[in-house]
Amino acid sequence: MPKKPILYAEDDKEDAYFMDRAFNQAGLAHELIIVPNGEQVQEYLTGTGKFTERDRYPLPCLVLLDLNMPALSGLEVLKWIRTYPAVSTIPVVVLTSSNHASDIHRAYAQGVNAYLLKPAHPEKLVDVLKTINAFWLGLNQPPPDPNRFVSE
Amino acid sequence: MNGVEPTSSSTEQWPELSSLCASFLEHTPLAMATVEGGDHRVRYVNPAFCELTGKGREELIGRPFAEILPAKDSCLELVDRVYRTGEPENRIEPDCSAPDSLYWSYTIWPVRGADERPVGIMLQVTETTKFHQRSAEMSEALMLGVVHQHELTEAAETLNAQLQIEITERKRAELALQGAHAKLQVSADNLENTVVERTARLLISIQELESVSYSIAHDMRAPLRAMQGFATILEQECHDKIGARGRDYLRRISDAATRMDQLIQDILNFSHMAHGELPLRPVNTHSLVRGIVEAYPDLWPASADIEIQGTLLPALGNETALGQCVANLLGNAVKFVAPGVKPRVRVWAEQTDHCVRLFFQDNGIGISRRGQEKIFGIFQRLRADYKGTGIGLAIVKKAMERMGGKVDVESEVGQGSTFRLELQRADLKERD
Repeated sequence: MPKKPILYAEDDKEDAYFMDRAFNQAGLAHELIIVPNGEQVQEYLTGTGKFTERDRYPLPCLVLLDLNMPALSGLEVLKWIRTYPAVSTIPVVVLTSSNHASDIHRAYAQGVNAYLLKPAHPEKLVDVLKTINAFWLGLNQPPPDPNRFVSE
Repeated sequence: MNGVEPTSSSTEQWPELSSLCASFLEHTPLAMATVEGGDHRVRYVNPAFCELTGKGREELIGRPFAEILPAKDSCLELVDRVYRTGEPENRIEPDCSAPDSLYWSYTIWPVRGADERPVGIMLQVTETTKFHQRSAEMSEALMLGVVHQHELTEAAETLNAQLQIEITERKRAELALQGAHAKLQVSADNLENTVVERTARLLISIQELESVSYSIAHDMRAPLRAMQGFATILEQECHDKIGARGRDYLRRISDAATRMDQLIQDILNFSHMAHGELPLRPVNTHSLVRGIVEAYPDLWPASADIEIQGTLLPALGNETALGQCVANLLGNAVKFVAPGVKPRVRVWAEQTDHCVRLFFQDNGIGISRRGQEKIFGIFQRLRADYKGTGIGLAIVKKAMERMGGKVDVESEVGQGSTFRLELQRADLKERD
């Protein structure tokens, strides 16, 4: 069975490009799926829109969220994830250029698992991805399938 | 005649008419005299007349009446007329010779002879002074009283009218005052509302400004990251194709993007220092400074020597803001050294009654007196050959002011600089 993908929501095309490139350079075993807005995160996680084929688009092992996106912001997506039972326990890591205390506070208050700043130099993204991989997809114990605990 | 007849006894005692007349004349208190003929010689005077004139009977009888009258008395004329006409006359005469105004009341009637023609006249004089005078006085007083009453009434009416006007005026003034008061109240309320509204609007403005700053920070930095990123990729992937000159251009693009990024971050920091909330708490400055020196070795050249002398004293401040100040001062201290000079920075603290002072002494290039006046202004850069945005010290100044402290500098060109941060003592705050 193939490894679960990483879902990355990023509206900035250049940042998405750098991430894609860094992902390939980092040589991670996971697939990276990039969506350009919060609505597509919801569609992906609920298997709707163009993501109805669950075999092709399996639930991710990690969600990387940009905060500042048009329409549905990263914080709103995070809030939705935490209240939607089927995906509420998925690890979510914010990756943003905002170091505002209010953003950091709200992200943690909404139950984010980690808050990372986009590196000033995009080539350092490779290191960030390797670290994410080592910690969240290596050391860290992933949450079990929430469906097993629905009755509790 | 139906009247009661006099009794016989009373008739016997009642004197004859002629003797009754003689007795009446002799005993009456009315002064009476008879004069005879055209020259009016006194024929008879009664005792009352003698008393009135103050003369004896013998002095008066036989003398012309004119001689016994006071000078210029118009009575003689009257006596003449009665004698000629035979018509009785009455007259009241003022006595001009008397010291008080005296009045004489004369009643004059003729004495007729056998042929009914006047042969003399009978004259009766009464001193009417007192009664007449008093009546005149009373009449005058009454007249005066009436006049006075009229005047009083008029005065009272005038006063009344004035009072009415005054009352009306006062009522109007009172109304005006009430109106003014109400207006004042409305103005005060409006002012208060305005203040509240403007404060609210100002807060919204600040929030909007912060949100704009935030958007700028985010949206402006993204393209800069892209520039840096693609310059790096180009340099990596086309290293040989673009040559040394091409790589130099790429480095310049990347550097420019980095400077722009730093500028944006500094402006945001300044904006935060100027408008953001900076709650004040006691700060352990010693661990703060040591933490900054040790935690960010990338900020200092490896050769730099930063020494903390003694124990830095706690001060009242905002740890984040103070940390920013310390980092900026230390960054400047190790940056602005002459080429090839090993940066040496000494940090120590002093305490006065009210404040704690942190000193940052360096062995740098120093700052001219004119430069010292400018360096705390925003975008002020003294040297083009040292990198910087010209905002670092402006952030320090703004942050120190916001924390109730200040920053100043002592320096000479070529002799290094000593920056001084002054804050309130933390222990004083705890005592409050």
